[in-house]
Amino acid sequence: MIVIDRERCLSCAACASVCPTGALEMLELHLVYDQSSCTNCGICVRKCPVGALEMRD
Amino acid sequence: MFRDRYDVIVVGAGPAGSMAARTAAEHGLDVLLIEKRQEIGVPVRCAEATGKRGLEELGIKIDRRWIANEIRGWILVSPSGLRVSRVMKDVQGYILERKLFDKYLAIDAARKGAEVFAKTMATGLIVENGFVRGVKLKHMGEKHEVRAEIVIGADGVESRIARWAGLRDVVKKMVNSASNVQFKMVGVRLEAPDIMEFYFGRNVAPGGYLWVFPKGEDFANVGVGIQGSEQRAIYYLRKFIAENRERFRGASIVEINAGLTPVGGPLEKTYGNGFMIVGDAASFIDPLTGGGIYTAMLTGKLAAETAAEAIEAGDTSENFLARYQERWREALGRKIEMQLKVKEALLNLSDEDLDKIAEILQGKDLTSIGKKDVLKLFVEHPKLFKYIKDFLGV
Repeated sequence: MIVIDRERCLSCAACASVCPTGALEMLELHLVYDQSSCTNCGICVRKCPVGALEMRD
Repeated sequence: MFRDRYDVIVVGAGPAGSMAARTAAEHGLDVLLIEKRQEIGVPVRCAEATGKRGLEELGIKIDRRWIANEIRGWILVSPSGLRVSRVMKDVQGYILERKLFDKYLAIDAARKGAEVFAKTMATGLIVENGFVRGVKLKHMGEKHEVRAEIVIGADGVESRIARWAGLRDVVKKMVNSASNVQFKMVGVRLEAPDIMEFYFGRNVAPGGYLWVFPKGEDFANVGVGIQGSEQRAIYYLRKFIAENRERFRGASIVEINAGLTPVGGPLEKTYGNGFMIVGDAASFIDPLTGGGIYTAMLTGKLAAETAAEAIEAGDTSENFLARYQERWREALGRKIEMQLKVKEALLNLSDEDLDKIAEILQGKDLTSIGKKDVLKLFVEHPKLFKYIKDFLGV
């Protein structure tokens, strides 16, 4: 699963843009994460410009 | 509130969407332009540079209120610090105030007759018999279903419209992208207030570049875009600032921006039955520079013109809307192909190669280089030929 560090997140939508399943989505300026549709591919973690996402078991 | 139906619904009020809405309204169409955020123009996810010629070509009248600064040239800095520059007498481009620029474009669209709604999010598409027939909306907690002959997706890199409409390569295009972070800094010692600075190298900005774009005498967008690095973009930005202490001594960070720049060229297919995708949502970004303001506005305009013709002809099928793709290919296709080749060649060059090229170009007056000079350059430096050959992919 993905853990979001809200203190670091800049709401830039990089993660939501690359998420293949739409598990990460930007509402107006709020990032929402749906673990049930997350495939743990990790692309969002690599694309985050500020390291606000982390993969955990 | 919303009507039950419009000719065109445009989703997203960035430069692409507002340009599409304005153009459609100018063609006499009923247009709804929606923006999910409560304020158009924020947050900024952009280094804000754009060319003068592009704005002129699109018929945008320069308004001092959204111009931060005029640009007359650029300086490229190689990994070892060699500098190649080109400065013109006349204004070449601008650093915009995107927050105001985007609002201006949306206001302009509204004045031309488009209905604009902020804080209105698309939550889904109305699809019937394989045709997009409208958009499901949410505005201030209320749900609406609004029908349209054509939907234009201008919803940026995080585009949902393209995904919902079934364009399969959207995610692939977004993954081939640079991660960016930018500080708006005040109290910076600039090279010159009208010169854009670009820095290259594996240790500066792997797979991309670092920029210092002046917005005023001591005010600049300082940012970096990288691709394929283990480190995050913010690591390289902080490193650059730390390694250039003199320039940034006492400087303050007054805003932080971040985002993603798709640099793999546009979607294979940018239209379908009842819809077209424009701007960042379709990866319309110069793959070499990462610039996308001009291409966003141009593709928005071309899509709206096509929409007007389709509605006039009573045919919104993909066969008709294919005209949109033909038009942007005609206008941008060659340039994008070329920029992709140059980018690939650059990515294959080592820091040493970049330094060698910089060494050769250094001190040359790049504004007045002619064919003879290029030939002479090749004769004097046979190695350069190989680089240029790689560069052009010939």
